[in-house]
Amino acid sequence: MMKRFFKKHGWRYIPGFLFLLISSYITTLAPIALGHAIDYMDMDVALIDQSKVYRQAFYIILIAIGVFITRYIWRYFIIGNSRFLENFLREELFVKLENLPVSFLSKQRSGDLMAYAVNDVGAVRMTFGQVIAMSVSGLSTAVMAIYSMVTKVDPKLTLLALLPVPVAVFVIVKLGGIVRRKFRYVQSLFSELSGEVNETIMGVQVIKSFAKEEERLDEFSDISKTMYDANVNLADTSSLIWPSISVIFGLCYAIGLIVGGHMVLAGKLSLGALVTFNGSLLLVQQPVMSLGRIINMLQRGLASYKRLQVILNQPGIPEKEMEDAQEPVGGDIDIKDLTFRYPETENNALDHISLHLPKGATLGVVGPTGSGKTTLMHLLLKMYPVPERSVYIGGTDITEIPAKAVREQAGFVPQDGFLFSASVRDNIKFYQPGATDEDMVRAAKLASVHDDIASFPDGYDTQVGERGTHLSGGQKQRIALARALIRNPQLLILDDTLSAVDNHTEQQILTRLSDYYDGKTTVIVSHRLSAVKHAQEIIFIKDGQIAERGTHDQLMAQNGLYAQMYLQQEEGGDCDEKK
Amino acid sequence: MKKNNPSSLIRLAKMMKPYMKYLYFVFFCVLVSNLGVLIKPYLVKIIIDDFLTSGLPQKGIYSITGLGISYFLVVLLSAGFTMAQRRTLARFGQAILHKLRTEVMEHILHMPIKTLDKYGSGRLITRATNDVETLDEFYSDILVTLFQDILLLISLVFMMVKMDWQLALVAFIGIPIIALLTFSIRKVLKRNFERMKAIIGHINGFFAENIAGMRIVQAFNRQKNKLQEFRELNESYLKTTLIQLKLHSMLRPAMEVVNSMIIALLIWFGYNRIVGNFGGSAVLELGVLYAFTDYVKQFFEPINELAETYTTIQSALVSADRIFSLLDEQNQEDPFEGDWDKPITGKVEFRDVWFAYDEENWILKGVSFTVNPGEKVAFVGSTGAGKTTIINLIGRYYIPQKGTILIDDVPLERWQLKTLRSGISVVLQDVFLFVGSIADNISIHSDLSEEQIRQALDVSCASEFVEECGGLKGEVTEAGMNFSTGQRQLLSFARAIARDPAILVLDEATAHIDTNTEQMIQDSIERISKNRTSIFIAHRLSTIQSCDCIFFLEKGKIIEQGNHETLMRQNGKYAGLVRSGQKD
Repeated sequence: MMKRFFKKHGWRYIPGFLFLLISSYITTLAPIALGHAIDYMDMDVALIDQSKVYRQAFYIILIAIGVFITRYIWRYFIIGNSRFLENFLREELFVKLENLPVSFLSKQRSGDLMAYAVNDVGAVRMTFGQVIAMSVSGLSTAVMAIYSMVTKVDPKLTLLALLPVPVAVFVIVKLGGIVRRKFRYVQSLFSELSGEVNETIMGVQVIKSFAKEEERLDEFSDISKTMYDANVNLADTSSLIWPSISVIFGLCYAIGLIVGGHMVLAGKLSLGALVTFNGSLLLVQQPVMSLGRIINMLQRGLASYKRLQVILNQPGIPEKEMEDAQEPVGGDIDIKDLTFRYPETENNALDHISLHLPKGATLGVVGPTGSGKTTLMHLLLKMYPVPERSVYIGGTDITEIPAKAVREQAGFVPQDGFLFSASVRDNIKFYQPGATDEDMVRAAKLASVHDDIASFPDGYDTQVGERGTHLSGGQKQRIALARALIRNPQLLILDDTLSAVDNHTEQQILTRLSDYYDGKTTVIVSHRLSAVKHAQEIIFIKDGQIAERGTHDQLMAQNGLYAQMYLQQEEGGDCDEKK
Repeated sequence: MKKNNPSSLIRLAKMMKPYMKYLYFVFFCVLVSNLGVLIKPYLVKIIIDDFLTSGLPQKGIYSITGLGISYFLVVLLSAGFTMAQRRTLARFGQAILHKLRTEVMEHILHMPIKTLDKYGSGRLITRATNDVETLDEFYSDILVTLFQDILLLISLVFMMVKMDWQLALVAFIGIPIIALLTFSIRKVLKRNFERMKAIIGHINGFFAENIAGMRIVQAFNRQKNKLQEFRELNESYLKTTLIQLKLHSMLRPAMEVVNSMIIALLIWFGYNRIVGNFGGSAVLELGVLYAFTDYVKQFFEPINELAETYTTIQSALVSADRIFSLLDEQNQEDPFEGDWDKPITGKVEFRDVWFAYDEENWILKGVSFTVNPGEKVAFVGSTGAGKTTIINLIGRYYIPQKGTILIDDVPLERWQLKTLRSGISVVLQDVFLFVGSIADNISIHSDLSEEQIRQALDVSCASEFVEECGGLKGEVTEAGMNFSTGQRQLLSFARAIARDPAILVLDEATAHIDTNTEQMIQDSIERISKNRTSIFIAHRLSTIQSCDCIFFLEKGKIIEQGNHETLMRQNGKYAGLVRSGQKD
């Protein structure tokens, strides 16, 4: 998945690393310049050469400016590139999600999908930015600092003083691992705690009604106490890392001072060289300190990379399904002995379904929850792979028509009335390119929602969705209906669309639709039989099979499941008075 | 921005009171380890000045080796105290946090429903999680960092002045420059960071919404347009992150440039002192010069941290304000709670009860009725007629302004709340299930035997599907989403009767469910209401025809009452409603 990224943005790493190495090199020059300055002053006053001292002071400023510039450049290229990568990955992920078949999406929990976008993209970015930069710059600075200690100061002193460093590396890797494990435990406790808070607050009425406040609080307090223990335990380990590293490097400095000091006294080393040595040792210490963070980020990054790869490698909707139609799609719909089973399930969701739906006719689909009604609607839209030779539109096998073309002629209205966080206008017009405001109002009137919208203070500009106005279930469903109607679809699919709309309005909408949509095919799925009463054909689906079919009158005469359901609904009318 | 309440700071301090001994010890550790930071360069200075440049004789500890070993011992000592400091600080911060969390939670649990509704669950959750966590930063980080940094700055200044006041003055030129640069860059960084947060919030929201609405996007072939919208957001985020990156890349190197300039200045000044250009007899020692270059490097970190701390303190104060104002809310549900704790037998009586949620909007206007033990009654009426309010009053979740409610002829205010609510089971319209096992959801923190739980499930017709979902140990996911609406409903029935309450109050669900499930629920209601006083808030007429009495509520008053037959004969509102239901 990264190939395309590296092809386009990979070049940035070249100047990035180049400037990074230069930057590391310049950094190691600073202690040397300071050492020289000290040396030039460490002599009899009469012998001090003013220009030499001033030149070193000037070098020190120059070095700082050099570091400033080179560091700025490499960070822009390397860390900046990780931002480009983040941008790239997020878009890849979005494109992928948009083109994943509904069959895949419905298996995933939305929280998991969100975690890809939020956590994993971020972790991979850190790996390709901070981790690479920190490790390369740390390593090169440390190596060059050691090199200048060996060449400019003294090899034996360097070796002696650096002897404890491997212990520091060992400690940080070892302790780092334990700290990470404990930290993960703390995090899992934290999410448990947040979960408990959520649950308690969401369910506070239940808790109160059973008078179990104290018991709930005890449970919460226990988790909170566990959290306390885990945090203290974590601190007890993590508090060891920094002090032990500083003790180990303290030993390095002490060795340098004692051995180096004696060498200066013996005349084998200049005072300035000792100063250079101390300064360079600090440049070795810093990368070792950051080792723990590097390992941590790297591990998270790799795990996230694997997870992202799995999702990005999912087969999407095939290209050919996304092509435009060769010729207009439409006509009679024929379903011939359609049997369908969801992947990885055992029972047929639809079992030997056959029906003929002439162009312009209305089909009513009823039956218990989970009987296969929505599945049938999804197949008419090619949301799932349809078996060959079972569904025909205008005589053509639906498998031979691109999914895009099938959907282009259809208007689908789901039960939940899902709307995007946008204005009402956008929610309706977005779905028909080139639609005018008149089209929008016409569709809204047809869906009997125009008056509702007009009564909002902002009219069609009212924001809906999470941060917007709260709409009733019925209003959402009717706006979703308008969104489908503005497309002027050849095939209108209402998947229990009017469940939250009262009887009266439902009848009003259905009557308008049948007048206006003469010659267009309509499929109505409903739990409320009043919605399908007037359809040319009604099918009663049970356990994936058509149990009964016919017109309302025929079905009533049969006195079967349909008739039973109808009578039940008759007597159980709503007792909330509707206005 | 909202002005912070100054008393919040005082209250934050008060929270620390029981744990001050921890804090004192932390401060002591900081003092010791800070001393180490100051002494180390000074030891090197002595080595350079006394032995390496002046060649003074060495004896005992006063020698290169002796001072070198002392150097290591100082490091060891301050490392030990740093460790002790961190461990103690964790205990200090976590203890306060644990206390605060529990206190907030306790407060929320005991708040009257009215106050809970005022806050809304989203805000309450933020108070109990995010706001508390922000205060964690205050106690376990900011407090000590502040102390440590200010202490370090002061002692650095003190040490430098003590060693060579002229050189110190030269070095101090850097402090205002560093402070100014840091604060101004951080200010821009913070503003840009706010923008970043806002955009990433948008992006995540966009993602979440598109995952939820992907079916729609695909059904309408709108992938390309959505991608376009997404790209715009994604690009604008990239832009702000690059600004952030540039600013960050500047901050530290800029400090280093300033530091290096100061060091160069020190060298220049030092040189002139050595050659006597500034006259006077003060001779500069090279060791002092070296120690100064070391001290100067230490200025940046505390200043940088202080600049950062400044912004975190602000957000901590905002959180503190919010938490304290929550804790100031009255959290006694019933200020006049009595101590009557006899088991309930099941008589319910309302005597001329008047109630309004807010002052003038009367929801109930003089409602009176009596339900005898074991009777079944139902309340019917249009939305807003006051049906649900009756539930809230029986359980004393709200207190009526006028009139008396009696259970077993004892006024509610004389009852002990716990006894009262344990004897009355309420089934709310929206079923809430807790994450956990099915058994947990039935027992709700009560000690019920497995037998009792099974019996409750049996009576409420839930046994069958519970067996399919893994039995009593079966998992309940968030909000019970792994069960259908109907199943959740049945589980809530089982939960309500598991403790065998004398009174059952049931607010019927309005959601449309398919006819089969509907039938199952009706059967279940029939069975669970046996042998106890049952009060139904009915939304469907078919449920209630067998009730002993039906009350028809309109605009807060009971306008018709009697059993189904009586009311039908009366031919009033109820009868009209029943007929209109059958006509359609």
